[in-house]
Amino acid sequence: MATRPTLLPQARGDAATTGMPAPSSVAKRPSAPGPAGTVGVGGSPLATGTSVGHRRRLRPPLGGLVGLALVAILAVAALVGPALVPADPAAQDLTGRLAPPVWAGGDWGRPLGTDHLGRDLLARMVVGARVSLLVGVAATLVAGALGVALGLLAGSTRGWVDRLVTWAADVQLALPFVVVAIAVATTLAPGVDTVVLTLAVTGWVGYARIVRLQARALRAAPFVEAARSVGVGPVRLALRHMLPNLLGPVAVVASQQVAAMVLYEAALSYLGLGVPAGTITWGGMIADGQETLATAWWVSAVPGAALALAVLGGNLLGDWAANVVEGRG
Amino acid sequence: MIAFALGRLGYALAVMLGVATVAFGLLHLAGDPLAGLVPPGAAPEDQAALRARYGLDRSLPAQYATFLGRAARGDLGDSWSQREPALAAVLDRLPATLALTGAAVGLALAVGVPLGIAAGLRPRGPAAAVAAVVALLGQAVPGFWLGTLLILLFAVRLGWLPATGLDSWRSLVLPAATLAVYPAATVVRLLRASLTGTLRLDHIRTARGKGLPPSVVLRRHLLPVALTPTLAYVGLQVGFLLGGAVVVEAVFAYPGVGQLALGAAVDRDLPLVQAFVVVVAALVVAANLAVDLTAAWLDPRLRDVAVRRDPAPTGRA
Repeated sequence: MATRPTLLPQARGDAATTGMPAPSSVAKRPSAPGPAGTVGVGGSPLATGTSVGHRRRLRPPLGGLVGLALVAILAVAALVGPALVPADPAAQDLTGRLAPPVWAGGDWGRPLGTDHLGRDLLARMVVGARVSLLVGVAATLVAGALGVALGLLAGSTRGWVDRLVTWAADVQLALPFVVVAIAVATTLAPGVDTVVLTLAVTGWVGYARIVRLQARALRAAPFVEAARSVGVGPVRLALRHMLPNLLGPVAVVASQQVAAMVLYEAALSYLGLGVPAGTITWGGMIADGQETLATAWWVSAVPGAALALAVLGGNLLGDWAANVVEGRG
Repeated sequence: MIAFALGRLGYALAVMLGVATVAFGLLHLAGDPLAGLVPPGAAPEDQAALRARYGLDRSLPAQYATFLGRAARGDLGDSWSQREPALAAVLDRLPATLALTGAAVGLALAVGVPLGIAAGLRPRGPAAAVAAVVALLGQAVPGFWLGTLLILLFAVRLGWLPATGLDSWRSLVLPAATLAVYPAATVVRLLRASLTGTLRLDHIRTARGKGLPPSVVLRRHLLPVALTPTLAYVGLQVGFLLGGAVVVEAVFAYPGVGQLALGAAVDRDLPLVQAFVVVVAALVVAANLAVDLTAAWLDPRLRDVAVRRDPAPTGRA
């Protein structure tokens, strides 16, 4: 599976985050009547679950806020950064090659230093952020649309259509995204659209599976049965009555996938399978910096750290979204 | 059980048929498959000869049938850039990649399992804090960047380990460590959640209630329940690991199958890429089959699920 594993809610919910006092059977020390003081909300097992749950829900978790901040910084950098940074990201300055960042003895004219061709790293970072964000969001949307459509198709029909979609999903899962990317790079011209296509083709299965299962369950729901019995056709039934009820889990998968897509785009650019040569991406910058690793570590360390922080932020935000949608504060 | 196993085997073959179809489709995805092979300005009769030699002058269904027939016998055509059968070229490089992937899985389990258990048992202990950091960072730090940093530290600065190539087991250490980070983080997350969930089950309460020492509860009652979904998940992630291996091989110039495939993509060597696709997919399908059969063998309830396995036994706690 190419996507980051879509962890079921429990996977993140250890007792500290479920908003509920852990059952006393968990308490290992008999002296403690329960894991006292879950972040100071009076976490005694005697406290009523609802009031604790409500109060906890009002206060966003620290991880979620950190994630929000990281993603917001990335978004702002991508949107307005290129307008604020005066340097030309492509301009070479061979006399100012491999200038160190300010904290390593560089000057404020080039705060993050320069690469092996003397290009300003800050200017390249903010332009690269655009590609990362654009590809990450676009690939997630396309994958989501594809997966929801196929999952809805499979979940609201029986027989061979359902089996065909399931089979296609299993074929897809046998082909990891790097493998698909290599195959695509062999046959198609490089481009942002090719990268989005590659990532979307490898990312739809997660949506299709969850939508198929949920749609299957919904088919038996009274309101769906009622709609069917008054003569609502299958297409309208799927789109108007079932789809709106499926969007919660879909949003969870999507929120957890964006960061993975950003990571994959960088990996493809690093391998030279991504966007055309000349397009500035973080993955490409990391690859550029590898040659001068021993003398100028920052050339690849700066984009690498930014990428790690962006993915971390996306993951934290995705986990928060999952917890909110699944009603665990 | 035998009927179940045969059903799963048949389905695995059906999935491989789909994979072979995708591989065949690759050849025609970009229009003329010979575009990269024929030198510009080649005489038309030479082009026609080349076409005939690769069977590209026949109808698409006929080509498809031939491709499938040969693939079933293990013949995926000759590589265009290397003078040898494509499948042999891939299989030749496969052991190096499997060694890398296997070492990474071993490392991920060696780190992830104890950490996940410790974090699951004491959610507020120091191990849980370490586990939280490992789980978060391990899934965020890009492997190709981490590999670069490891080369800088251990190969360039300290000179302890080789940065590239494959000469001895020492060459395996840095790539395997790089590849292990993501699965280790996943194992920690899954096991922590799985243990937290298992701790609430009735039979654990009973085991404790009858006065079993904690170590026995852990070994006999807790781990078998909590570990199985985690191990099954690792088995289902073989494809993801092999994909990651391609990236890690590029960082360390490690002579595995990924490097071969990347080179083939640059050369537009379609038969070699096809063989790579089929071999990786076969490994993934075989691993999934093994996980399914093992799970069904251990837990007879799973045998009723017939052919369709639905939600993969992932992080269910």
